[in-house]
Amino acid sequence: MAPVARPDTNTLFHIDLTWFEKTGRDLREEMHAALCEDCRALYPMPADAGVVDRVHPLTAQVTRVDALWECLADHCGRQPDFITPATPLTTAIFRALLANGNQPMSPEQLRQRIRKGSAAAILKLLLGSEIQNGVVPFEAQV
Amino acid sequence: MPSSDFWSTLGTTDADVERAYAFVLERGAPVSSRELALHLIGCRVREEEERLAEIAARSAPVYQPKDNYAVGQHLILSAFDNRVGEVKQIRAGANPRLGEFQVMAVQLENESKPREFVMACAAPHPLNEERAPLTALALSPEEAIAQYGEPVRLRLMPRLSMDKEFVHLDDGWFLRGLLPQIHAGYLNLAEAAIEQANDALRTADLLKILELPGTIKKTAALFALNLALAGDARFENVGPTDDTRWFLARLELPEARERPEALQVAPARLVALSAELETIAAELFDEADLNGDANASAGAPREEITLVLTYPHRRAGTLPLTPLVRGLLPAFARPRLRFAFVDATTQEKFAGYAVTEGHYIAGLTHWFNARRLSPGAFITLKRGANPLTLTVDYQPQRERSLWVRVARGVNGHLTFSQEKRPLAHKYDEEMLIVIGDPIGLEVAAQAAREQRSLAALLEQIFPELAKLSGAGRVHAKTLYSAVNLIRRAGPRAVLGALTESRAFNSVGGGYFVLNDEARR
Repeated sequence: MAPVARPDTNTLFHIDLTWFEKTGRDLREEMHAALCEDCRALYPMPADAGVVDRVHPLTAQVTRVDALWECLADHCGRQPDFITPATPLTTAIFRALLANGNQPMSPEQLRQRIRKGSAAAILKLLLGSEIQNGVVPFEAQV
Repeated sequence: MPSSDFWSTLGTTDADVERAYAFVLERGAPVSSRELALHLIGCRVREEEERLAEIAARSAPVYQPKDNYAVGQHLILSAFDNRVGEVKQIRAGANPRLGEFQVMAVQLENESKPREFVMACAAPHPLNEERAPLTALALSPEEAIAQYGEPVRLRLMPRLSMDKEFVHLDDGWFLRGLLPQIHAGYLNLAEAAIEQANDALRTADLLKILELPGTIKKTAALFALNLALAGDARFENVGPTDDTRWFLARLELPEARERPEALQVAPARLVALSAELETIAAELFDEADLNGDANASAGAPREEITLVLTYPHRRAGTLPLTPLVRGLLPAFARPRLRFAFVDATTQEKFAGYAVTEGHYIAGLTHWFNARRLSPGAFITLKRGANPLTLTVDYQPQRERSLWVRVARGVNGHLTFSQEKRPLAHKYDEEMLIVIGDPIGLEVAAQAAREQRSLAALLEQIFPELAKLSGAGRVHAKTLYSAVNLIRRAGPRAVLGALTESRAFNSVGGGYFVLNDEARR
């Protein structure tokens, strides 16, 4: 068995979607709660958000994705009030990953995005005894 | 313009080798790697220009998400290295956040499946910014050469080296199939010609003697002959950079073929010296201080340099090839450069060699002997009128008997005495040591090889020299000259050992005394 590297501030983390199923929490509800007012007007209920065409911000190539992820990554996540200094650290980390389309991020990258705390403090929080919002170390699929 | 990915692989593909092959074939003469690299870049720039001209002729627009397109239309996708795609299908877009828009399936060249792109979309997107039409290259050929020429050349050389069709000598590349045959008879004739001339001959001069068939292109004949001579151990290229001159290995001086035993030196540990000792070390111009680094900066080139002869060089008939001395000769990158020493007084010429391995110039044994030079004599080297000559001179004076240091080996130990000896040359007062007994010195040198440290050797030699001076002082240069009678060591190694040893105290002016403890 390969040795497990000790996580550090460059270790990547992501939202484990299965964690929500296991803990009985609804990820789509949580994502919907993070939408801005404009997007919530478009999708009043989580069930209203189906699959949409996502336009790549640089190439304009189109892919089919969940509307909630598309809104969070391409619109709400770019609004200045999506993460504010008043946002609790665990929520800010969760929102930063939502805005990043759940592409894995390191504590250092998270610190740059949420502009609060230190990479070491974020790492300590993520490695605490309780998993917060399903954020766990990312294990690349081989 | 091609992406940076393209430039990073240019020079490594089979197509590049094909192009290089065609280029050399067309030339019918060897070409340099730089010429080949420039040719490949030129080809690629031309291809790109043709591609852009073709795109311009097709009137293909640059894709922008805000615009409308029709099935069958061609587009240039700037975000995909300006590749061209054809619109295959159009459907309605679905995203209430973006409003009304359409999605088109575009088949890009060299791809198996179409990709989807947004069109007729009012939402802002960076690709909607106005762009200049793609009718000109983003990079001029000159800019492409300046930016990518050297990397392409460096990648191309190993690739061509692996290809059996190519042969190369130094930086000349040619095709094996175009090589004129140089048979053994030609090489025997070349050997005889060099032996008769008793000097290094240029390839072109040898070619005239060999009289190869007139149908052969001269550049191809030169290359083939150089290649054949380089592959035959009888011959050695002893010319400067870019001036190939062939000589016979068996006619070269033995001391130029192999570093003389007297010049063998162990790598020295570098020790920080005081400013005074650093000045002394720098003035001594000893190749043993190079520690194998022949690329040390020579500073501003000089027309002449005066050296003080040391015993190892006196025995070997050599002088140090320090960067300053190297600056008096043409640049060379091979093991040996053959040149001519010119005696400044008699204008007599004799062969000399600058030797890369060991950094020394050889060929002075007879000249030293004829002038009965002792270690400590001043020797001046001067740039010759002809680049391949080096004028050598000493400072003669009327012969008279003088009180000088004389070195002997007694029972395996180095000893010194003050004796009256005839001298006919000027010398460095601190470094002059007349050899009283070469055989005894050799025995002492063998014993010194077993001496572990230079500091211990210095402690042994110092009292012998100190007894010749009333105040018990010995100059650092005298110690350096004396140590070199029995063990080859550079000035920095000797002065560093002096500095580090607790047995000696510096009393200024480059002089040292034994401290009280060592004296006991």
